[in-house]
Amino acid sequence: MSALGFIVRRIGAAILSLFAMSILVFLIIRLVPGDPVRTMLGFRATDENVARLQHELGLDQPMLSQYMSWIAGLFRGDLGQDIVSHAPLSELLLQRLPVTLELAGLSMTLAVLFGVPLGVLAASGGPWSKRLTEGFVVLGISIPDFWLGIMLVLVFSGILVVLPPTGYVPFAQSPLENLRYMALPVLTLAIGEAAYVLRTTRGAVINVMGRPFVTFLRAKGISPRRILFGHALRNAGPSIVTVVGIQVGVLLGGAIIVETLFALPGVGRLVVTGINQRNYPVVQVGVLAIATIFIVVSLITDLIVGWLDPRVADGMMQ
Amino acid sequence: MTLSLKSRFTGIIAASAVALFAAHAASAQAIAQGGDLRAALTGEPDVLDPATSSIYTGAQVYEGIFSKLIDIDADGNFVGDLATSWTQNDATTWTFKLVDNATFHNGEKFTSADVKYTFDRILDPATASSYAGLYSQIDSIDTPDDTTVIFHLKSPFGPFLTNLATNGEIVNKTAIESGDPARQPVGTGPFEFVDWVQGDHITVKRNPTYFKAGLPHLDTVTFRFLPVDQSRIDGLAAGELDWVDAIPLQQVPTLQSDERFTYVSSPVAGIPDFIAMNTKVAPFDNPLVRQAIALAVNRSEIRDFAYLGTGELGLTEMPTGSIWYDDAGLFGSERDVEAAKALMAEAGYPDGLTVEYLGLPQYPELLKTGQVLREQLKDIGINLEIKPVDVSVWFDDYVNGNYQITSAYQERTIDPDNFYSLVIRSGGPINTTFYANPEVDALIDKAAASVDMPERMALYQQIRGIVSKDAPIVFAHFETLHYLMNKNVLGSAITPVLSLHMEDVGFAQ
Repeated sequence: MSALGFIVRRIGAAILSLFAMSILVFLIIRLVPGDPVRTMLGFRATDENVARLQHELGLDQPMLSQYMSWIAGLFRGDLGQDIVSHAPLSELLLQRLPVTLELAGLSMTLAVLFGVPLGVLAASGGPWSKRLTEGFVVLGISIPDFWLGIMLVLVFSGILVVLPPTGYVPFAQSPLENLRYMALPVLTLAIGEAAYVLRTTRGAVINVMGRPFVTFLRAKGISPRRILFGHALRNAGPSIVTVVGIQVGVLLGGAIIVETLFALPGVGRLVVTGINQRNYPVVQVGVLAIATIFIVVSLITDLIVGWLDPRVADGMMQ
Repeated sequence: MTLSLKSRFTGIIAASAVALFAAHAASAQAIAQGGDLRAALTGEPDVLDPATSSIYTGAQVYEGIFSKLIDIDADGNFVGDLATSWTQNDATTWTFKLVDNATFHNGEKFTSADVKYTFDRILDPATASSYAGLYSQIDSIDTPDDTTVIFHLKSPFGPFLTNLATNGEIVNKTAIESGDPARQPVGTGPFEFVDWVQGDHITVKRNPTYFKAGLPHLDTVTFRFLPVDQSRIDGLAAGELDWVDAIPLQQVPTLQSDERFTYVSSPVAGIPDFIAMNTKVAPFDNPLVRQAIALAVNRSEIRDFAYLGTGELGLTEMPTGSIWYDDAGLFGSERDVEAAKALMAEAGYPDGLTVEYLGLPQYPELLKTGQVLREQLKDIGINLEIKPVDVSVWFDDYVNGNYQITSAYQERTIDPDNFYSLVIRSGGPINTTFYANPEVDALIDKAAASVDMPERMALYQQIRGIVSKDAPIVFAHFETLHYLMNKNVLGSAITPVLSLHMEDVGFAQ
């Protein structure tokens, strides 16, 4: 099977996963007790108004026909409407996806830029560098995002007053301001991620360094530096990339908390607000969007791993 | 502006009114024209259509975009907004003279036809307005000329003016029918809608043709939505914000005395919190058990522990700064454990009982009230088991009567009728305790139908006496509002109708 066939098969699997995801999210949000219209109308809701709105929103229809009309809408490119604000969801997603993608993208880039070199250092350096990196890993993995975020705000906004505690400016409007506002949320997510990447890199590099071909390279008189970066890291690559790909999912989960904490208008915050309001269309489309990102990232991860280690690609193709 | 600190602690109506007025007059001279105010609200509005918006943050924004016929000032007096004068022709007819110089933000001139359209629309079942109940007494509206509007009521209605002053923002027919009233509001108010970035902010700008000369002071107001309490305070401290709503209670004492900020609070308005008991299910179908609860409540403990010493002891639906406040003749205004125990024994529970309390973690203070109550009820042998649920579940269970006891609150009680007709009258839309007392119903109707203030006050005193004794609800606390702003922001005050009145706000010269 060709590489193209591999990609087509993966995309087919991705579509199936999304389909399963759509059923799951549709059912789960409806199984949660609580009525969206009552929550929306508040204390002054009369039974007539509740019934009227339920009818207008199609919530008095049987579940199956609600699901079918939602899916049919998706195929037509109609994502539906936020039932509280009446805003079209396509517009909302277009505003909010870039925020979440930037947050996740920058955090992961930062995590890789720090985590990989530190991981190599931890695998090959002296006892002090090992101890320091071990300390960082334990702290980075154990500290919850929400606490780290609050502490960063305290230091950088409260005491030093150099970075804004909340808010957002679109990149297109002012790149510099955008980065200023993104700095603390990105740092909050990146520190924990960097710890994971570091740990994975360290483990993978130590593992590779113990293999016979490394002993052979040493015997050939190749410099330790070249062995480390030219051979060991290249061989450790697939494991690191795989973990990074999976961690993107964790990162998207963390983005929900971080977006709420820093008042970033991203998809995560959209979904959280949607869940509280029982805003079915928002939750459905928001979760599906996050799932799509994750599935696309997994696909890219597999392709990169296949490119780094053709044996893996062969294995996946068969 | 140190007004409200003082007024808050004295709690004397006259003092607070004078302090508010003095501060307003003093700051009015010092306010500069222009400036961009960055304000933080506790959440995002649902929609900006005054007829269909149902959450407080929605009203906080749209009140600056629209005008009402009349308003209520800090002293509790009615003052003109779009109406210049109003007279009651007979028990059921009111005539309003209107301003002649107001225009909507879309350029259309404001006339009496807009007033008629506004209320016809609210009352139209197709609008599904939550506020239709406030105006259901309106029979018809006449507009003899552009600046005169006559309301014909079905029967005499005491809270009519109050209800006009609290809701009923005047809308424009063209804007409603050919625009997007939910997301592109068009009013005659001091500020014009500019944009709404979902999840982030709403911006409004000065209305250059506003009918009140010299107002508003500000060029723009940006309302940001910051539901995390600490984020609002951090934003203010970091210079990212100028004005914020709702301070985290544990920080009130430190922020009050913080040199950088002005703290504004006042006992003229707020939210009454109460313990609600389902009178349809055991054991609270027995009035003796409800009375025992009323006598077991210690309100200062609730204030100290659940509200960290802020707000007022809740004895009635009104704050002490309201002209309607009256705590004479209430049952259970002081804790009496022995009497409560005796009532429990009389009710057939000498050895106590266990009840389930529906908790609402979304409002931490309400849940904490439940926790304080749990300790207090132990003294009379009641074991309160707290079952925390999500806000949507709580709404469902509370409205449909699937609960024994819970804590609840009522927003925007400006006229006592706003509370008693909705929450206490049998069959009232928010009568979720299912309390029914024909005597009380008759008194509520009589008070609503009266337009004589002293008579109404006496009737509500009577109602409070009976209801506190029947105890379907037990008032637990009165939450006052508080705003925090940078020292250079002037003119912000708590108003009885809870409107932010951004037209009066500005920066120091």
